[in-house]
Amino acid sequence: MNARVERRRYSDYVIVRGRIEADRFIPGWWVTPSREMLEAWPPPSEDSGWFAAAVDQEDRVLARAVATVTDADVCRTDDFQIDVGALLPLPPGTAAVVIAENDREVYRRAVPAQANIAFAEVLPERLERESTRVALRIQGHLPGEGAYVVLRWEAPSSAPWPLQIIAAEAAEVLAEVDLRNLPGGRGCRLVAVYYDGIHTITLTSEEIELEPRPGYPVLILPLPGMQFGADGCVPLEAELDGDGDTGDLVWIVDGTETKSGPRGTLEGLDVGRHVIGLRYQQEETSIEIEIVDPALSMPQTATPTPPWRVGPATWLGLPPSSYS
Amino acid sequence: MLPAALAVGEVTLTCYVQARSPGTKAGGDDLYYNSSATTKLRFHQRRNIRFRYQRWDSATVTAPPDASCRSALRVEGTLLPIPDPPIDALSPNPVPSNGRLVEDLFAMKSATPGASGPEEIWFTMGNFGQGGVALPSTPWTGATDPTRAVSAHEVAHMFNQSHLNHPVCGPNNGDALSAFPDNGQVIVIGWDQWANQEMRGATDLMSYCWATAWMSPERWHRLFLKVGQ
Repeated sequence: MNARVERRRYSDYVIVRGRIEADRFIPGWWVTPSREMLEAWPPPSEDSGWFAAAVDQEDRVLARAVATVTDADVCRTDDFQIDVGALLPLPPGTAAVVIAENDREVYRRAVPAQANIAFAEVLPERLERESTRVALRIQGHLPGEGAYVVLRWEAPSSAPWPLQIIAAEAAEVLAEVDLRNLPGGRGCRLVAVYYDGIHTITLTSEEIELEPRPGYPVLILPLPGMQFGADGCVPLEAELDGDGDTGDLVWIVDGTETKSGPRGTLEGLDVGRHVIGLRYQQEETSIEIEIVDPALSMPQTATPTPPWRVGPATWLGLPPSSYS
Repeated sequence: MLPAALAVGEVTLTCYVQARSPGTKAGGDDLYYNSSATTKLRFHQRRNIRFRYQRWDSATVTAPPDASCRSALRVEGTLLPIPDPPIDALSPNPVPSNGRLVEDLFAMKSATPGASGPEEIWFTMGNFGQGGVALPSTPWTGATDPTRAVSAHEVAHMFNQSHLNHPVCGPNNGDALSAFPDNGQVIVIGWDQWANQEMRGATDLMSYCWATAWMSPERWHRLFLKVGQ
């Protein structure tokens, strides 16, 4: 299968993470931050004594970031953990990332050599709904400490769907991808994100066809039996369970096709009961609602001033005068 | 309860009240008293947040029921100042515990376009009593158990809310109870729309009083400002 490779080898930042156990720094997965993470990353509130540094071949510090150290309870338990995290710039020429507590270096990770990633085998252009083995080949270096691969599935009608994370410990990474419940259709892609410990390399497959899941209309609003005033509007909201275009959802009011799409409003319905139906292809569901006229349903037969303001009072319990 | 689809922009809300006094009208008919009130409400645009979760199990702890996880997140969503959130299970579900489930989720989240920011909150979910955690170095990714109290508590951590110290329930590493309005007691009566019942005598959800945890007006206000649009 042909595939395109998008390399973001010279990422500007890395989020370094780890935890402290028995005075040892245990590295976690480091990540290349997205723009949202860069914008939202909180500045360290105080100098924790811990920092991350990007150093060059001669060990000169090119960038330095104070780490946030969090002594966190695991809520509802007696456990706790000490967590270290820092957002570190990676200037050109960075040869290694160093974690230190004050002046004591506790961890060092070298910037790996350039690598490529590729699918080891050609994937068919059309996949069946079953588990499929996918092999990835890392070329250029053997994965080092902290290297991992994230697989995700992308379908045109759905948000990107993460599949799994696999520690990369050899030149070939094997994954079992369960396609049974994934969104399908034409134009799907399998994406592998290889994190070499410092930088990210993304491999995107060519388009794959996966048999679409059958689509079922799901009526969210209105709810069965809801009452609406005749002078208001009826909200319409629906989802499609399965694969397909929500624009093809059809709203049927009392047997007449009225609107299409996942949401909208109905206005001007007559007073009385109405059947609201929702159809997607051959599947249909419906509920009944009632339109009421508030003026008619509440007879104007009384004085406008309620009696509890003017009429004689009957006290239940102690009268108000005894409340002091 | 106003449907979310109607809570958009400026809305005119009219409330009709009718009281019936049986047999008190001349001739023995029922007497009706009608009243109505109208007000304009303006709904602020809120951030849409999607929840994704992955259950975990181990040799000694079974995975929580999937329905319990969904229920906890669904109820939690109604406590927070966000529209009703979509809830998706991540596969494999459950996943075996490996000591770094939150880290795994955070790395996967970071590698998923559109998911790395606060628009998506990801949880690894253990069984009842396993507790929860939300750390600054794994933003919008955490662990919880399938109770609304713990999961709402962890989401609040993700939006910069600290613990509220409580002399009976704990913890003792957060803000002083005396510095919080009403000493952390939720004076207003909450409405649990899923259980269709009132919530009285509740405590702000950032303490460890799990059985009575509920959103206080002050906490809601603070979260409202943090969650943003």
